[in-house]
Amino acid sequence: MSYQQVADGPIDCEWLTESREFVVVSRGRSFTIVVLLLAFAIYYFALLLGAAYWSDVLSIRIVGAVNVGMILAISQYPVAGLIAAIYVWRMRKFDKLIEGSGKDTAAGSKK
Amino acid sequence: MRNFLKSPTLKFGIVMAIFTILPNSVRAASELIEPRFRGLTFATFALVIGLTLIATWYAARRNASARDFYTGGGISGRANGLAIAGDYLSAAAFLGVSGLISLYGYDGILYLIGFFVAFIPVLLLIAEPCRNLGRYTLGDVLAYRNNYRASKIVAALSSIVVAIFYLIPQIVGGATLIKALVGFQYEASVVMVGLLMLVYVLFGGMRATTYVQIIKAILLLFSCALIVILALYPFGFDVNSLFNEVLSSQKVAHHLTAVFQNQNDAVDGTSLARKFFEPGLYLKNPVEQVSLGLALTLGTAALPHILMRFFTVKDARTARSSVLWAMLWIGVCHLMIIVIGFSAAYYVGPSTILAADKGGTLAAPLLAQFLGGGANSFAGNLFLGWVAAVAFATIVAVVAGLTLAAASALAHDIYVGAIRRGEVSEREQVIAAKAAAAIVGVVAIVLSIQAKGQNVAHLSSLAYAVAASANLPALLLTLYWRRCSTVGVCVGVVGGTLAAVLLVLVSPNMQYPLLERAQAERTQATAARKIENLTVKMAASTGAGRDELGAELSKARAAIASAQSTIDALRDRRTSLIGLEVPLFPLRNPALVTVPFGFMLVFLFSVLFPDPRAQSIWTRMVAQRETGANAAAAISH
Repeated sequence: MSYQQVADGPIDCEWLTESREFVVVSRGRSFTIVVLLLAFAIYYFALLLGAAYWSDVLSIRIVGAVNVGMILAISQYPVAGLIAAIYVWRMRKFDKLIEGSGKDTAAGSKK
Repeated sequence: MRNFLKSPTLKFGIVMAIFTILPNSVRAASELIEPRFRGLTFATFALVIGLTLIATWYAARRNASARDFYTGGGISGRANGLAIAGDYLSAAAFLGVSGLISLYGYDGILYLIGFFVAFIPVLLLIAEPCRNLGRYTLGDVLAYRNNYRASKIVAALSSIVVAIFYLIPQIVGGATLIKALVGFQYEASVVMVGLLMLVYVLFGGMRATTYVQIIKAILLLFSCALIVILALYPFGFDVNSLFNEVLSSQKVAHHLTAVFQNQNDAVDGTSLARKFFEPGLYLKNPVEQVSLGLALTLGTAALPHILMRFFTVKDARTARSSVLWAMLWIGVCHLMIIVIGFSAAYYVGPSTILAADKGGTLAAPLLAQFLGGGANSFAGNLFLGWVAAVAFATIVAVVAGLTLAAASALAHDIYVGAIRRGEVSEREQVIAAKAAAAIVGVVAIVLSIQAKGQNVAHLSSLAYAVAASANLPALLLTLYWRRCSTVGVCVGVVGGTLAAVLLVLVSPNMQYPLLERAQAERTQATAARKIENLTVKMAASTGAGRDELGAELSKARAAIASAQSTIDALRDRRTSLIGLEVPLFPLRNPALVTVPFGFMLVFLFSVLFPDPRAQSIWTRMVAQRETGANAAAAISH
């Protein structure tokens, strides 16, 4: 059976992790992830802290029963959806870059 | 439980109740359905369960290998997304939160949101790397670059702890639902839930469990949609006019007056109904809210049954699209639950919901009964039975997913991995997996029977806290920090688990006889004063007002009697389970303290005990983490 065991000692895949495409893609991915995580954390904890400490602001009426708090709460759903959509859109771009470089390296490694 | 509603300090306790349906709280449900409609409820239960059993039978014909058992043999992102939604949407969300919203409005929504946004960390940090690095379990991912045996054992132990903590309240909730609506004994109901779950897992493995999750997710979404359509039809499908009607609803205003009277807060009469749309009715302690938010958003990313779902797909891209589909279905379901909550407040009324169950967990079934035509109609009871059956399917599906996750940790990580070092034939692996599932199932059934009459609801929030403070730091730092070492991971997982469990043991979740007695005595004193006032009013009033006063009077007398039974039940006990008179730690959910503690442990012990081998594998791991199968194939050339 093909059990996943990692051999001890350094394995030579620096050719991959040091390739220009990999570095570019890897940094781009990390940047996207950090920015989106921050956006998520700020928006969600703003709701929790807002409900706890700024309930006056959240109670400001907008129309009928709808107030700032309702908007902030319900909008968590579309905002989280938007964050997810941006992530997928960015990752697709990086996938394409990796695919392109994968063909190059596969060809290169046969030399 | 009884006194939580009357005490602002203990009120947060009901938050835990929404994870499940409390054993002693649904007792009133037996009065919801008249005996002549019992057969009808039974038939709807049988129909829903039969549907899932057919799916299991179908799946069982196709299972062969260990890979099939654990992963279902690879499914599409859309199907897996629906299955994640099935795994994740527990009865707590459907019954618990719709009830919370019907009783407390805005704070119920606030609580629900945490369960949804938790998928952002899953999507951004966990789903794809886990798919790229793992095979069946969390242990596989940790063992990629840490010491194989050590990391497999600790990952398995904490996964099993999390799964068992989460399992017990679910089984207890399912059994309580059967007991209330079909009429079986508690013990028989627990065994029935347990056996049903074992049938799915043993005969169908991951494939059947996946089918069951998908069927359940579709049934749940369909039922929610049906309730929402019927509830919004009179408003021309305009949610805003429903909100406006709630705002001017007498039932809601009456309930809010009672809530504020109990809290002794001065309230301006005109703005009372607005409170239903503002924070503060239910969640009182800001620090507690942040702690719970942290546990939910970080714990979800490390729940074993959710992690396991990412190993059922073929590559990282499918894992990514699974999360997206899951978010879509969970989001849609949550928005419908919000409408259901407000509709229940408008149509049924908070006092009726509260009378049926102190935690409000019967709001959705009651709303279904009302929309179907009321308590005496055939359609109303059919609809109620249907909603209850779907809630039951929801519970059993979640339970099956958890059992499978715990069983795979036990069989794949501990037996096959750590004990046999992977030298196990395919056939033996399947046997080990099934034996492990049976063991987990039996342990869960026994523990759930032991838990009869106990408040087990806080166990599921403890599960989130353990996942967030033990599994997540080890997982994240293994994935994203070069210097993370085996010692760091092991100490972090064990320390994080112990810290979370210990803090819960000294938290207000436990029962403190002295405090409960004092609370009950206060309740009695308040009720006695109320009776005095009412008697005076009664003497002065004539005609129409007397009935209402009489009802108030009997309510107050009932409150005194129930407080007395609480006091009697406490007997002469003075201390909690571990011998404390008062809680040492103020938070019900320890995540705010234990999550940083877990990260700190992994960090500190990684720096103190560096692992050269783990660091040497780092480059290779980064390559595989980022590119998955492509890199693995390229390297093996």
